[in-house]
Formats: sequence, C-alpha cells, structure tokens
Amino acid sequence: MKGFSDRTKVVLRHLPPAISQSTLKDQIDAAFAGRYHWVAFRPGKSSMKHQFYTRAYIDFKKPEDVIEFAEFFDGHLFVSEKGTQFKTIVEYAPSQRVPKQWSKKDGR
Amino acid sequence: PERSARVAKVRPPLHQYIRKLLFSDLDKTTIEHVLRQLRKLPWSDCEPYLLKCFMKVYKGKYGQIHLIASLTAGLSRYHDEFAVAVVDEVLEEIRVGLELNDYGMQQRRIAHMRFLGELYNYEHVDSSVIFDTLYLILVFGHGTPEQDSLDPPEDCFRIRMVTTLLETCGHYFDRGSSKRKLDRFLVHFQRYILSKGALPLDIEFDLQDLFAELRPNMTRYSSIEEANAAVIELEEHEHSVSADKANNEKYSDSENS
Repeated sequence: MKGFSDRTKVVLRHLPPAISQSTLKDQIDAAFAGRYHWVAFRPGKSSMKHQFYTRAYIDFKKPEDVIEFAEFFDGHLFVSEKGTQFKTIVEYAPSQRVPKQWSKKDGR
Repeated sequence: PERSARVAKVRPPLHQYIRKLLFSDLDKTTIEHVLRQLRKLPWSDCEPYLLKCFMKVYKGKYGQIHLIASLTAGLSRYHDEFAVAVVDEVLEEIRVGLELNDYGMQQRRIAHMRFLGELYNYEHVDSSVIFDTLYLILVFGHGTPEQDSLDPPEDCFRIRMVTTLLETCGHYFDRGSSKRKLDRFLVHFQRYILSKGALPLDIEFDLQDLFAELRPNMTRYSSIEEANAAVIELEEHEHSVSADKANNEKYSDSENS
C-alpha cells in the first residue's frame, strides 16, 4: 500500500465543462512539462439539466511535484467564455493505478 | 396537446451495437462472446462511449454487475488505460453522489457501490481504495455548513452504501492486515450508525445480516457513548503502537551507528 508521501497520481476536479484539452495541457505544461508520465483528460458536459465538470488525471514522476502542483492549481480559478468562474480542486486520485506502458497490442 | 411527439434518440450503429452487447446480450453464458466482440471494436473511436456505457451498470440487472467488472478485467490485458479509467470513473461517480446527495440518484449510487466491490473481487482495485471509500462515506461533508443537506440526521442512505459495498466484497477481509482494517472500520461504522438514532427496520435487518455474515462475534454497541469509547480506545491503541514502532526504529538506528 502506498503512503501519502509516495502518491504520485492526482485528479484535477471542478474544471470548466467546456475547457479544451489543449488549453488545459498548455496551462499544465507551462510549469510542469516533462515532470509527469501520464495524463488523462475527461471532458465534462453542460446540458439544460445537469452540468458535469471536466476532470484530468495526472501521474507525476516525483511525489514532491504533486505538492508543488497542488500549490499552483488547488483553488485556481478558471474563467469560462461566459465569465463563470470555476474553482479547481486538486486531490490525490483515490485509485493510484496508472496504465501499464506495455499494454499488449490486441491480436483479436 | 400542441407538443410534438418525443423524438427518439438516433444513435450511430456502432453505439447501438455496443448497447446491444452490454445491455441485452450479456449474461454469464455469453460473456466470452461479448468480450471478444468488444475487443474487435475500433478502440480509438469507441473508448469514450464504452466507458460511458460501463458506468450505466444500474441499467442492467443488479445481479449482473459482476459481469461488467469481469469484462473490465478481461479488457485490461489489452486496454489497461480503459480499465484504469473505469476505476477512476466509478470512484468519481461515488464522490459526486456524496456531493449532490440527490434522491433520484439513489438507485444508481447503490449500483456503483456494488460495481466497486465487484472490481475489488476481480482484483482491479486494492483494499486501500475500498477502505478509503468506506471512510469517505462516513465523514464526507461532516463538520461543514452543508452537513444537514449532505447527510441529514434521519437519512440512512450512507448506511446502505456501506452495507452494499461490504456485502459485495467484505468476506475477503478475513485475514491479515485487511482483517484488522475491517475490524477497525466496523467500530467507526457502529459509531456512525448510532449517531443516526432509531433506524428503519429494513436498514436494521440489513445490518444484522451484514454483521452476522462478516463478524458474528463482534460486539454491537447499544449506545453512542459506548461506541465513542470504543473509537477512543482504538485510537489510543494505534497511537501507542505507532509510538512503539518509532521507538524501535530509533533504537535500531542507534544500535547501527
């Protein structure tokens, strides 16, 4: 089991539903390019009934980078085109699993 | 009425096919076939939709949720990224459920608890994830101004979430460190239960079944004071154990130097 001090996978929650993957990636890479192994983007959705926030999962190379990342992005305000503010939350991802790099190609 | 007839949603054929496989074909005799068909899909196009469908476990039969967990495990060999996403997604669903506490979502929230338990049974999540989730359910929103809307005093839904998860995978926590972790959790859980006061009978019966199944010899506390004392005792014990550990380490350090 991993203790808190060696967790490397975080989730960014409450991102604007319409934020694009490239916009977000540029913001992350501005300070953290090359410091993570893996990132997964889960686009949100706005409908009449519900609003689903965008999320992103990032696996950092070093546990210390998580702290620095959280200092930078936790509580960070993203402003959507319509001017709505979204206050981002950074947390350790509840499941620390990341995809194995060597996933076999399916011969089917 | 003036309103026009509801227009049925038209889905692309590939999506229709995925839905047919998962929501009508899938049963324990066809699972191998369904898995093979899923593997044949054009993955780069279908993965997001497939993830969406896997989260709709509440659409199928409750007793078949383990089949979706089994498919996740089967697909992870070739699409580990997908299997990781399924776990992340179901944990997010559980979290959002706690954040909204929407009455209309209860059925799907129960299905997601069951799904998480089955993912553990198929060795797709660690026991630490299960226990983190259990504790999150007990404490989420407590001590905040929203506590009364997130977990009102008379609301027993969180008890149902916990019993559902433990009914699904609790029997595996019967030895070693996971046994100790479950023993500890059940003390905290008992305190939470007693904080609710009198329980509806159906909930009480579910709890009796759960304790009989998992820990038939465990004391069920009858008052919140008893449960509080038990939690304090537990914490003091843990504190002294970790202090001992630290001392031992110090001792062995000085020995080495």
